[in-house]
Amino acid sequence: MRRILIAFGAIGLATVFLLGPGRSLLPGSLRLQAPAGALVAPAPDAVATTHDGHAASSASATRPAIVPPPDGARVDVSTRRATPAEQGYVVETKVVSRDGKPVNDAVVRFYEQVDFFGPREELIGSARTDGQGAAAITYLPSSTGPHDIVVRFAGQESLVPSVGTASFEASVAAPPYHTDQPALLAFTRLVPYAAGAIVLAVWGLIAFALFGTARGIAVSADQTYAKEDTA
Amino acid sequence: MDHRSHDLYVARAMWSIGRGDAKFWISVAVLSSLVAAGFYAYVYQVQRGLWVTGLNQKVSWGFYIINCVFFIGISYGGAMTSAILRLTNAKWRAPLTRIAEATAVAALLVGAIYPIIDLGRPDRFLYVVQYAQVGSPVVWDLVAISTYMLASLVFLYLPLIPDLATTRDSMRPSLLRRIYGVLALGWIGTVGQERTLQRGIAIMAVLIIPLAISVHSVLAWLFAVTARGGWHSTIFAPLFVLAAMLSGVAAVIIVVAVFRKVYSLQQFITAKHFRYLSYLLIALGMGYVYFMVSEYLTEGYLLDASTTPVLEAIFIGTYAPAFWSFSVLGLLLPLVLAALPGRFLIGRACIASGLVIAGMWLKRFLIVVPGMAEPVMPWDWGRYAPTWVEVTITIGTAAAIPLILILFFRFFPVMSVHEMEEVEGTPEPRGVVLVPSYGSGGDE
Repeated sequence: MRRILIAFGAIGLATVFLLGPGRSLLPGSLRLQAPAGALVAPAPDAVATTHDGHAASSASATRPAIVPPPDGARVDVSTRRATPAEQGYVVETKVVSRDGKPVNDAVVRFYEQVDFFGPREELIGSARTDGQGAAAITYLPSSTGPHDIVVRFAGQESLVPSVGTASFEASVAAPPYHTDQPALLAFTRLVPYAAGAIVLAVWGLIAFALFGTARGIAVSADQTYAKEDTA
Repeated sequence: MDHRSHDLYVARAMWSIGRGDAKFWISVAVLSSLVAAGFYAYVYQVQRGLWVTGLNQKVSWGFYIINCVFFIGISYGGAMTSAILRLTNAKWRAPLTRIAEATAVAALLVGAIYPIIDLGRPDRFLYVVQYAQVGSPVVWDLVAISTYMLASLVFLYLPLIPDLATTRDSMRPSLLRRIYGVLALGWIGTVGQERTLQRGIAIMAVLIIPLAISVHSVLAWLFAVTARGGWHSTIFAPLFVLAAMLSGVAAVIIVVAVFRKVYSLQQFITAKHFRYLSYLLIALGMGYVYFMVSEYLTEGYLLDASTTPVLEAIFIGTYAPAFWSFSVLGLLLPLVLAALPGRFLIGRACIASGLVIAGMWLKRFLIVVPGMAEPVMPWDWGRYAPTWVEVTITIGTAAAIPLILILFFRFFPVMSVHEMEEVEGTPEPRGVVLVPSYGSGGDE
């Protein structure tokens, strides 16, 4: 017995030695991290602006921190109600160079800031700028309330990538998506409960087999000893 | 039965209790080292993440899930063998049931930790409970495995009670004797106690069979409810159950042969036991061949778009060597070896069992990996090659099973003395030469 304890103790000590004292099984580097470039972390109290300091159409409390590039384009973003209203909103952007010339034939991508396991940017559309540097998409949000839009210009020739943001309060949203109820759904919903009842019955039987046997053996022993004492 | 027989049973069954010869310590040291190596590899994986394994975005199930299915399957065979032999009141079962039940528990303990190893982040294991979805097969898998584990432990413990009392009575007053006394629940062998115990064992023997079936069925449904080629099959649950029984019986044969040799139990475990276990192996093997042919025939005839690439990969493609090795060396050859009449029955049974175990592991590989590797989008096939981490963890956990058994039988009788006496029946008159009914049939 002692030797077994010594053997286990030795294995334990060897393991501690191999891993090193104070090492955590779960170092911080293992924690969830977004892939590089997938997310611009929100800066607290960031003000909605275009990269060159122009005010956006409305402010938002949480917004990606935008670092203005030295030779980027200006990306202005605005929103307005679409016609008809059921179509949602038109998100418009205008990309102009520093000297005020429109940037045409440039691909701009529109994102919405969402909270999905942390803040993320969800792509909602892309468009190509026209001769005036303007591009627009129609966007029907999935919910009413505040929405933060980010427009990213990937850069073109001498212009480095630039970003513009806007916020708007949506009063129109896509209707909830409903699927047809499968005919067997009512029955299927009951299956887990039926399985749960069977599991409980099995646990009950196991408990009965164990505790019933233990009790029966103990009682029988007590009775035998009592008889012997009486005799 | 006389006192001489009783003393003989006790002497052999309890030979190992408290005894630690050189072979024991060498075995413990070697197996512990392997387990420690596996543990080190696991900690290495936890510290660095699953990227140190061969698992990837396309093939996200590999050695760990294969081993989970494989070891739980082995456990299933041990429990089923014992339960069926008890329910059919097969007298020859007496020296085998304890080893089969202990093998079932040891293999289950090892198999059940694999889903946690596969998680990568073990701290998220409790999410299964915390965010349980009653419609999720994973949740039901947890319920089935934990219930089966509880039942297996109770099924091992109940028949052990009279032997714990015998062990208690054979010891001098000590702390260990007190522990045996507590575990024996005051057993003195009265008729009332006997009746109560038999009722409890009968309940567990009846219960363990559907429980074991449910565990492997739920494991099979984890695959079958997934719309992947080669997995989405209605026959998967019975196929998994049969595979588990086959590999489990094979494992029992090997474990029984090893303990028979090491603990010198040749007088009690004879060629007859191996012959009967071989019959069981052959019957299950033929059943498995039938199910497998049925599965491949229907899928191959239909040639569904999602299944065809997997079938091609298995029969004539990348995985063909593994498949044909399994079919010929891991299934057909063992059946022939076990069925052949003649000498070296025990040796042939052990070789056949070893081949079956290796073959059934390969079969699990053929179920898991090609099904994952086949692209569900128009991409290339996924690739999977295990790293040293997965191989070391596999070896370490495999070594844990004999280690658990060796340590278990150092504290508990390797054979059920109570059952052997029960089979022998009432005391024989003096002068009669005892030939144990569970042990007749000669030896090799």
